[in-house]
Amino acid sequence: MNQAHIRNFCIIAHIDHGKSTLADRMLELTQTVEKRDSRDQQLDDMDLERERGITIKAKAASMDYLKDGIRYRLNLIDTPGHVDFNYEVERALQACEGAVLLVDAAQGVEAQTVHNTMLADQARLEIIPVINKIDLAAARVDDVSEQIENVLTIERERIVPASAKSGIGTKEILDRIVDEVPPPAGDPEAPLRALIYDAEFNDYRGVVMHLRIIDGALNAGDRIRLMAGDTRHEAVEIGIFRPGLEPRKTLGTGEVGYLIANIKTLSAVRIGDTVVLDKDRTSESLPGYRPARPMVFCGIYPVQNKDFDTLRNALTRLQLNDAAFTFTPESSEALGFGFRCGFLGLLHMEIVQERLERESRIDIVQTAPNVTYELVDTEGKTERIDSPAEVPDPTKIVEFREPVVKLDIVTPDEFVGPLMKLAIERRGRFLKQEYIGPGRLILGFRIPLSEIIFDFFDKMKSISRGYATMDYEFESFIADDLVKMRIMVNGDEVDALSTIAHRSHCQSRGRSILRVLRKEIPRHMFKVALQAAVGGTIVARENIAPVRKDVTSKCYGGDISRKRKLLEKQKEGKKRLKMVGNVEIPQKAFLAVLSATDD
Amino acid sequence: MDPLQDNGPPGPATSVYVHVPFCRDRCTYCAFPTVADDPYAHEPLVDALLGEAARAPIAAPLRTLYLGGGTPGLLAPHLIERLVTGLRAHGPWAPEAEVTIEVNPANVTAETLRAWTGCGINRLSVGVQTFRNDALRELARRHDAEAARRALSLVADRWSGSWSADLLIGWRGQEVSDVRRDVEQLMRWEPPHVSIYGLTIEPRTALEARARRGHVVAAPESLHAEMDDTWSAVLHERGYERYEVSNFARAHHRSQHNQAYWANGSYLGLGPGAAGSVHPFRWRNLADPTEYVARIADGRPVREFAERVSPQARLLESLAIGLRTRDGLGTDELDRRFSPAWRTVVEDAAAPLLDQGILQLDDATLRLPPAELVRADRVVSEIAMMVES
Ligand SMILES: Nc1nc2c(ncn2[C@@H]2O[C@H](COP(=O)(O)OP(=O)(O)OP(=O)(O)O)[C@@H](O)[C@H]2O)c(=O)[nH]1
Ligand SMILES: C[S@@+](CC[C@H](N)C(=O)[O-])C[C@H]1O[C@@H](n2cnc3c(N)ncnc32)[C@H](O)[C@@H]1O
Ligand code: SF4
Ligand SMILES: [Mg+2]
Repeated sequence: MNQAHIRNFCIIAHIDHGKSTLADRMLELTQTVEKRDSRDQQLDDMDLERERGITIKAKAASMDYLKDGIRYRLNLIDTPGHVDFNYEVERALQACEGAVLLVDAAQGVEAQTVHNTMLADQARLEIIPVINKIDLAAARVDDVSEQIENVLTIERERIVPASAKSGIGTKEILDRIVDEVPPPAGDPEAPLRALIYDAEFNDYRGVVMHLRIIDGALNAGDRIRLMAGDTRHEAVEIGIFRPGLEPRKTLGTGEVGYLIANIKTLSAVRIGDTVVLDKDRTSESLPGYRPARPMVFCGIYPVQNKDFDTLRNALTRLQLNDAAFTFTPESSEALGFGFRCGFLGLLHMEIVQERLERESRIDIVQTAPNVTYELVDTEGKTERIDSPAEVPDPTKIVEFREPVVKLDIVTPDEFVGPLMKLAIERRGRFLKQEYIGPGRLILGFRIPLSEIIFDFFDKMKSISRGYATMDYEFESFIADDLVKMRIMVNGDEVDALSTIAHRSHCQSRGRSILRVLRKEIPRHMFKVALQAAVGGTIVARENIAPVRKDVTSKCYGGDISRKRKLLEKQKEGKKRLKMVGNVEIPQKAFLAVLSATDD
Repeated sequence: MDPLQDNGPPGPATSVYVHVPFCRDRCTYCAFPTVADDPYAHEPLVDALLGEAARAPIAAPLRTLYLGGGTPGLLAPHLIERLVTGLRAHGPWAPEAEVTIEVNPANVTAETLRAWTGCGINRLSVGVQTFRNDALRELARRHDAEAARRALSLVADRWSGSWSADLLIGWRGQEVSDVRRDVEQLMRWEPPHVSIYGLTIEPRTALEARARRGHVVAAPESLHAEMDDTWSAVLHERGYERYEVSNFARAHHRSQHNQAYWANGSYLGLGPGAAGSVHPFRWRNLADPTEYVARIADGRPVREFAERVSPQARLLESLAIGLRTRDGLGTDELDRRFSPAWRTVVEDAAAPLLDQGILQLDDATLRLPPAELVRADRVVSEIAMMVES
């Protein structure tokens, strides 16, 4: 492939602005897929992506496009729009020279639009601005053009109006990519250096690495070396995405494709690492990526202790395809042996949990999520804490720090008041307010991550009737008056229900957690007492009255086997409950902290 | 330790249940195997019932016969007579055999009462449910309160045998005061036996469908305990003994047939949807009456389900039904039937319950203290949780 005829670009946008739909149109127009074979958002090929209608993983496809008699190779990467998967966008940007930036003609510039444009600028990509969904009756092309000009400082003359749904503008976008996105730089004569920008696991083939060739060329059968781990392998198969895997003999400078090298564990491959030829001893590695670091943690436990190994295997499998997900064994007095799992955000957590349930078929208990904290102890040591259970005695803590983020909210100006109030109640500090177009502005806050990962998004949406959008970025760990709140059930502390909260919020949080527990824990033969405590002080209490009467007092006639079946069904149901002391606690109760809303 | 065994009940099957599946309407809460009444189907059914009885002749002197439903009271007296006489032909009956028929108030007239006596029936079970007309309508019962009062008066005046009345508790809108009024009103006729069933929302009933659509279909659970206190107090005052969670009897009027069930003994079930148990098996017949009649006529089998019950499952059954009775389970009989290994099973599974005195095991019996009887099903489900079955 002639390097001058290659164009590498990604599609970036706020969630749902139509990236995957535009990718469909491009695949059809270039006849990479037959129109009749295609379904909507065909690059979203994971079950969960199709069910939720969102993109979770970035995905690549190579297309051939004829312009002015020249055949170009266009390598496209479709990216996810949700804030939890920002790191996927960052990685995709490194593999490209250009970005198609979509803005929904009805929604306009959103928080994620701003953020992704900034990332593309930082990566020095050529941006092709597109206003999508111009077919909508609610399209406001002029307003949105003005927003793009004001906030993103992109001249409005450069904007392509398009409808990914009907195909309007697709050809113009491809032409603009050919004309404006520079071909990949890189030295074809230099020794091979390829960037691993992503990797996935295939049951039969092992790890499939996604590569961008920076310098030189890679041939099938080459002896290669992964620089970070200094491991040697054979390039068993290489090729390009069409969007399925299509083998090739050679990947030249500037090309995007895949590499299969008989590697059986994903952990043996570091995303961001450099692939070189084994014989080249002097190559320097590429800059790589900052690793995606989980900020949200929760415990995942098997309901039945015997399922521990099955759970470990299931988690290991999931991690094969999701390097941003972490897990380490932990144990809880209440729940036994399980794992502390790390996620990028709540959506990521939900998705992992859903895949786990679907793919492993074991009953699990999940504890409420928390963010990661930093503690400075009396000896001046700083320690990372991923679980409330790890919090030591308060006398041993000099400083209790929590992650604080920069939060941007884009909203119509009529909602500024209530949104301000929401952020400030959640311990946010107001930073800035900027108009980005008529009646529309960006609010900036510095706010603890723990205050926005749970219900903040929903609250923001309901306050703004769905119009406001948000994006955030980790800033630093900052000390505050944080304490561990313990929950006791009939006097026994249930470590898996402990939470970390700001001292001023403890009482109301304690109350609402207990209220939820009272609803979720079934009545027992005896009274169940619930308490929330900070240090030695009880801050809230509730009781669950015992069952006074329980008879399905119907005659079963002679059909006693029915009665037995009923008991067996009950028994199955009860197996899903965890025993704490002699109290049965259903899975949902361990998430009480999550559904408890303070008021 | 010896493994648990099941030596079977002390004797052969001496009880027979006959299912008559016809009802005028289907009540909103009822999941029993019933079909819309068709008078032309009565005679073929009776023939088929006798045909099924001929396949599994009653060996021992029969002690109880129960015509249940459905609404067996819909059968014409001559058909009932043919049925009972036909069953007698299989062998001798015990001299004091209890023969019960379930009837709805509309079935009760001076004539039917006389005819039933003539057929050898000596016990009636009358489905009253409540005296509140709005509730009867909502539950799709065919009768109104006036019809129930009339039927009860006839029975009280003219029926010389034993009899029972059923009340249903826990329907939507019912208050504790309604419970008191229903039970007290029923006391006017001094039934020798009363069954009080708490409304259960059964799958595949109209009530369940309504509940699924988000409607309130029953009285709130928070009222159940107080309702139970109310009726049990009234009945206790009037000299009834609560001999099972849902059943109250005056002296000598306990239901012999139900007691046979609760002892987990052997019994035959005849008819579409009927269940039976003869050590070590259990079975149930197919429910569709037309199919049932056709298969009996062709000599084909009618059992749609049969199982060999393991000793563990049998023990659990015995506990599940036996602990609902006031007398509980006799330890001698448990030793005989299950081998002493049952003690380990129960002691392991129910240790906390025994410790707290919710379950009592002494030399002679395993049972719940009277005050705990209303939590019997809960106790059983706690035990079931811990035993293999
Ligand atoms: N009317 C109209 N609808 C469109 C257009 N483009 C996309 N959509 C619809 O917008 C919704 C979101 O489209 P996607 O292509 O999944 O958006 P996305 O940007 O890939 O979303 P994420 O990957 O989740 O960030 C779908 O319902 C599409 O059918 C368009 O041009 N016009
Ligand atoms: C199945 S009926 C047969 C007798 C007669 N057809 C009648 O309705 O009275 C026997 C008893 O079971 C009761 N029953 C039926 N379904 C019930 C339910 N879901 N909950 C409580 N009792 C029920 C009836 O109310 C009746 O008293
Ligand atoms: S409750 Fe009785 S009358 Fe009503 S449908 Fe059921 S069997 Fe028939
Ligand atoms: Mg998408």
